Amino acid sequence: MPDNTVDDDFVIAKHYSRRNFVKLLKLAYRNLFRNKRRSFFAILIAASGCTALSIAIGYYSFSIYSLQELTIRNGFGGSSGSGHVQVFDKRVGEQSEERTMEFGLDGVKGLIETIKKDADVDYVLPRIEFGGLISNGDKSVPFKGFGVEAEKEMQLWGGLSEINPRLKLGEQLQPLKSGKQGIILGSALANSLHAKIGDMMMMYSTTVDGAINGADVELLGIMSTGVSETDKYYLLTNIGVAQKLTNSSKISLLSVMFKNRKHFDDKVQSLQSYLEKNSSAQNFKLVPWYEQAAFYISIRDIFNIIFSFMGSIILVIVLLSCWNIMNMTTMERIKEIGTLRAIGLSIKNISAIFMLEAFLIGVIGVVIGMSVQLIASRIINALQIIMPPVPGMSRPYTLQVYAATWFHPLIAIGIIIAITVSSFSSLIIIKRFSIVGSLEHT
Amino acid sequence: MPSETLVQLENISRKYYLDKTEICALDNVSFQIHKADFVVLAGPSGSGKTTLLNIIGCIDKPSQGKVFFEGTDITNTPIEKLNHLRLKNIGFIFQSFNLIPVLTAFENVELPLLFKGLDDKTIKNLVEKFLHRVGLMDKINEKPSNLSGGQRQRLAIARALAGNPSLIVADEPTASLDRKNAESIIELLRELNDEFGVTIVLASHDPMIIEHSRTKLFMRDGQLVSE
Repeated sequence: MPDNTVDDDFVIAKHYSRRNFVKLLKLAYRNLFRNKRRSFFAILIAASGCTALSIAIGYYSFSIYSLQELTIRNGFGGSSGSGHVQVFDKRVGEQSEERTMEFGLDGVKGLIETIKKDADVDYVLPRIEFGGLISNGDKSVPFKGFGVEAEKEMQLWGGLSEINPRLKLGEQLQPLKSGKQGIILGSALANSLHAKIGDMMMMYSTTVDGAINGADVELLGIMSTGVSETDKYYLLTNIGVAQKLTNSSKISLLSVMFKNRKHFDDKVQSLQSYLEKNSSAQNFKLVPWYEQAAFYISIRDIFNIIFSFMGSIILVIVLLSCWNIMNMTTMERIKEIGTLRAIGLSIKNISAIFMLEAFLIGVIGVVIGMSVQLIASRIINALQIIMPPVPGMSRPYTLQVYAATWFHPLIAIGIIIAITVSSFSSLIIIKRFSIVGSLEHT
Repeated sequence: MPSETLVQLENISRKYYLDKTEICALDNVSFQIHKADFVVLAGPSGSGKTTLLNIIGCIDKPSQGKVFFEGTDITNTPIEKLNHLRLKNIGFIFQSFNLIPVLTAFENVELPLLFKGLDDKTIKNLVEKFLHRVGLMDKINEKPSNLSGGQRQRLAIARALAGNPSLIVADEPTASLDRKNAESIIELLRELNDEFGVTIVLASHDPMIIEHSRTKLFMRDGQLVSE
């Protein structure tokens, strides 16, 4: 009797496997309505897990994007925004500078015009970085200064308002537009000098020749960089003032902003080639923003670990909760399972019913969870919840949750897999009971 | 073994362990079931009727002895490997009907047929034929919860019979029914036995059913005894 003893129910029905799959799916769907409360809770677990993961990823996306833009536009760590890419003299970072502005960029106007011709470039910001002492007459304190073009720098800083409307960083630079020979000090530095806006101060630095030079400057503004530590030495002035003080027409670097960050590496490569072709006078080094964003990268790595861990925990909770529900569901139908096995259905076929049931719970849960996430994110964003400053920062921020649609398929797959895996509990139970044991079970 | 023999049991014993106590449900039972026979296993509760029926229906294995189905020794074939044998050759009728509550009458009968590799048209014809035969054509789209006890058992009979099995195993098929429905079910089973030549083995202690049987086997304490 060879045809009877072979476990070939799948083989014989292979031709009709698609039809039978649809029938089992239909049966699984109807089974969802047998114990509505239990199915409701299973779907609720799936939906909650999905919503929690989507919102967490939405918050992660907001945080990462905010940190990137903060690094680019305002400088995470409070110094100054890097822009998308910075143009340096090739020797910067390779050799040590013995004199002020030794490796500075010369012929800046022409260079800026050349860079601006690149179709991807939005604007170019010249900057001088210098150090020295700032004095109120009684006390002198070291500073780290940045000479900038206020108008362009306001455009760069102001970009953060698109992410966080409460941040009006560009306005902090407004005093530099007065045309006066003045400075803006970090709040802690101003406090240490007991300085008030309008006070006259002396600013000292070394010139390109190595001599000490000083200039009378008016305190035009006091600002917080957002990082308490940076506020202790931060000084901002117009690029002309800095050039006069250092007695040089050179600048330290050019910060370039592209119109957007799409195909970023290609744009950087293209700009590098463009500069090499069109400006042979000097060798340049282009440094993309992320190569100067050690602080951002370390925070991003921590975020990745935290959010991966949190996501895994949510998936495990979903799996275990549904495992328990599938356990109860299977035990409740153990006699029916015995009947199906007795009439010739294999364990694989019967397990498939439970697996499809779990799959449907997962799919319905994901659809509901994603819908809830869309509504919940909008509510959270509309509430403009103020979050306390992150450690090391002094500026609070507004909580936002991004859509992060790029990650939604992964969340959906993760939840559906977790719940489908929970149906393995049914398989374990089905295998544990013999046919007779299942039929006799009460 | 004569050609008309469907099932042959040789020196069958079945022992269970309840905690650490050995219980002998069947003790050295031997007999043959012939094709197209109508056999009733009679005896009091706990006499081993259901255990013997489970072994005949290939859903349980004996602890000792040999089982032949259509001449083939299936004693050592694992239960799971006998899925197709049951699907193809054996129909089951249970005391509490054991229908799938979320499926309609049509779908309950259709379910085992789907896995036999039959095409849709054949399945439809078979389901309608047997639902018609048991008098449930007007309930074809009803779920079991909308049927009476007698109708549910008729539906279970249609399910057991639709696959054209050579053997139907029925454990106390009338125990959950009133007298009128019980008689009607037994009459139906006898008619189907005559009409389709299907072998029917019932376990029951109902004298009315024993009266209707062609072959009577009496059991007591796990052994076959004379009446």
